[in-house]
Amino acid sequence: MFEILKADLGRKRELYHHHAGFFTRWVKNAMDPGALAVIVYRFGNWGHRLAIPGISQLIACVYLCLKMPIVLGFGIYIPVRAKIGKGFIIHNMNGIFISTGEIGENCTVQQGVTIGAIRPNRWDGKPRPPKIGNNVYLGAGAKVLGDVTIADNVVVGANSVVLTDTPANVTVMGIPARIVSRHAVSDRAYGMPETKKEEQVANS
Amino acid sequence: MFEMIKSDFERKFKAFGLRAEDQGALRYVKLSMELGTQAAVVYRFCRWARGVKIPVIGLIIRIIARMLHLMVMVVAGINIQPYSTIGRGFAIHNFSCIFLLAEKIGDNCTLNQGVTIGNVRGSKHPPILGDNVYVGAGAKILGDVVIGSNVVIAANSLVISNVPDNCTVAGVPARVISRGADSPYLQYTV
Repeated sequence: MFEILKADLGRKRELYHHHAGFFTRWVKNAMDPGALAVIVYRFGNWGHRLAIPGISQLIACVYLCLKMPIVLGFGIYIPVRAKIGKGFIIHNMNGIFISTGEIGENCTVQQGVTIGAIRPNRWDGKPRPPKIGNNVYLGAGAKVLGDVTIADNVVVGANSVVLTDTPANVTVMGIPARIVSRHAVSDRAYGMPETKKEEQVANS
Repeated sequence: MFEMIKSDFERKFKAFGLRAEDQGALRYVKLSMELGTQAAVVYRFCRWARGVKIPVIGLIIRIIARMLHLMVMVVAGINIQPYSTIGRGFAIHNFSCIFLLAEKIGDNCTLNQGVTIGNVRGSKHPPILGDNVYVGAGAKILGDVVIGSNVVIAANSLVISNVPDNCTVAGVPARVISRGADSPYLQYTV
């Protein structure tokens, strides 16, 4: 658990605080709402994966006490069974709901992101959550719904709704999400570079 | 600071959430119970606290301001960075998931829930908004955009390019859908 936590906080430190002083890099980095939510999730996930009968329940009790203020106060909900890779960053807070899917490494999640499973029809019991690859940037308010596979190196623009599979190395935007660029420059990922008209037409 | 808080309250008196029969001190009480108003008052306090020059008391005031800011963030989900300069008559309609970091916002701005106004990597400055802007629920204004006056930004839109005066924008990415912004939201000004 500690290696994964070091990878998470280390990535956040490099991306957002590499110019700042000691206090910001080591103390404030771990204290903002997104980082606290990630720490609590890693703790709960570790206890869940441990699977030792008595100790797992004990850890689950402690985890529940920690999780309630995060869910109520910060508005970030990450279930224990979610499989999230190293280097996970939650940037702001509020409105974040991640369901029990798989997320790859180096994912960045902004505020208002929903990664949710849709129940396919009313009589089928099991909801199928999305699978997200490595190096994915989910912009503010992005919603990824259903049985969707997002490949590696994808930038999902702000306020988009992803309902279909996404290939690798693209930028998607819009409702429903369409490919707007074959670059995925995640460092500047906010809105999109100039839309390529041919791609929009071809993909619509 | 107190004039700004008064202007915020006056704007909300005119339009939002009060019935005609509420008069006098009851209006102040009812409005103070709204989380949006509380967040605006805390922002005014934090902004004032940034400029206090007295050495020791200034530090204490800034610590109190920081704690109030964190409390509002946790309880209401409204995070207004004190770097922003916001004009008079600032109204926050609902609460939750509001993040605001802007270079300058003019008078009579209205925010709904889920609004993000922020900068991104590589933008020169955070967004600049003019007077009388109504930002609908879930709208995201990102980058170094300059938005004019008398603008209605529809719900769930994504504004990443400049917006001229007197129009309505909607969509992801935001496109101008109307050149008349005579929407009822813009009537209530201070």
